[in-house]
Amino acid sequence: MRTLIELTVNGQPYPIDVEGRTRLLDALREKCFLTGAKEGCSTGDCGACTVLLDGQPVTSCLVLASSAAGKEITTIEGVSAGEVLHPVQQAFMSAGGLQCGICTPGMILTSIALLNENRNPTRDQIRFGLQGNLCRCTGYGKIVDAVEVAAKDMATRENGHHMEVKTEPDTNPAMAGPAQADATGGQAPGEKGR
Amino acid sequence: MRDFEYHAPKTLDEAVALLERYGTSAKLLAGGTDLVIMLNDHMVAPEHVIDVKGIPELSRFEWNPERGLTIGAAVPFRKLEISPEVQQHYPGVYEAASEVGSWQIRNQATPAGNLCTASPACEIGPIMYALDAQLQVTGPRGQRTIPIQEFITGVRRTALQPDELVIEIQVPPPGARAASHYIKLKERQKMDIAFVGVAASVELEPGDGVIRDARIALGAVAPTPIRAPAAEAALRGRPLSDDILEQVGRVAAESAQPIMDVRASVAYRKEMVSVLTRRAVRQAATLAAQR
Ligand code: FES
Ligand code: FES
Repeated sequence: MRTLIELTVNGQPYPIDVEGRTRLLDALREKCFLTGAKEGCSTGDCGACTVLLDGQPVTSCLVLASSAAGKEITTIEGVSAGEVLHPVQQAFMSAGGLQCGICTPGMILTSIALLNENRNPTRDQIRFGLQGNLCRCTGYGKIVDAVEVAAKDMATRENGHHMEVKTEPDTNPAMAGPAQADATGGQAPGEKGR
Repeated sequence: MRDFEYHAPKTLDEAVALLERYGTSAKLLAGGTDLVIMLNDHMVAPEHVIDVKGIPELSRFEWNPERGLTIGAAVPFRKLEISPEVQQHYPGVYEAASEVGSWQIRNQATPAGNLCTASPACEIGPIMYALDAQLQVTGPRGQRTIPIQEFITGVRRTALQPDELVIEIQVPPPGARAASHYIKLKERQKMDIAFVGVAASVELEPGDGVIRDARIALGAVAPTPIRAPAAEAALRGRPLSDDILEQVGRVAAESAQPIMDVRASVAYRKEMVSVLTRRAVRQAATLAAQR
């Protein structure tokens, strides 16, 4: 049965029509056209569909869209300030905490929720927090590194040591590889010997 | 997934009226982590889904020294995991709650829903058996209280009638020198279901190490969680020793009726019941002695 509901996503109202069975994941992707949340397993196991519901991570594949009406939904599209990346996004790039990127929106959202609760997590606490986010490219070491980098960066900013957010896509080592590979059609640096 | 009509009652009366009207063509939705998967897989195809998360009574989560712990049917596992009262008074509940799924799943899934699904490997079942919890349920014929052991009646079967819903789980307060513990054996550290789960709640006599009362419950080794009464009897009135623990573990393994499946053999599961029972009882007794 179709009904009109209003979702609040990244602070914006989205009046959409859904069926009873419409999952939050599908509503976000197909009705709000926010495709950052990914569908991996549809059984709550992989975390690729993670979004924040009132600040807490949930698997949007197991939430009915109608249940999420009236809550604050945060997706990966809502975490940067315009072109200025969130420190966790920045850290995933600088630490190389991603390969294919499918798990990344979920990883970043769970990491943001974790750092909101615990500004200075240990590596074990980071692993515990990310237990529901699977990465099939197996980049867990660097993902944990990225969260540590973000935690330090956020602490520095809070202490006012440097307030300005830097985004330097041209000089960022995580971006240099693919860009060069494209340009030359050859091997990206760092891929040698694989 | 077949479509259905979604209802979000705001009061218990409204929910009961919906259940009375739709009965078996309706399914209750709390956390959704079981139901949405079953809907997706066409294991269930209700015409109506009644989301109970908006009913204020079902979000009650309270600890009180006289009445114990009240866990409303819409309270997610995560609330138990981060509650200082649960960690202090019901360490076994804390252990069981923090073993469930992932952070995301614990934000969604509820202990009440977990009991209603009544899987043999039910996460919160054994510790609730060991703590003698009961469920408060309501329906068109009024409210009733169901002891946990009568609530789960078989594999994915409960005593809940199609027009009834759970309001809350009630866990009695622990005795003065009592504590509980839960151990889940699984292959992966997280996001896995139990081969075997053992819960123990132990109360000591005042002033010494003699066991006044003990309750032991086993999960994933029978169609429902089960108590191990012979093992409990072997502990009562005795001080804890390695010999007694040895005997208690052996007797507990005898009450288990595990199946063999892809994950473990019968002999392995029985042996693990014995080992984990010893460990769970020892840990519960150690915690109780510190009170
Ligand atoms: S798609 Fe939701 S957890 Fe995998
Ligand atoms: S980067 Fe590919 S799944 Fe994680």
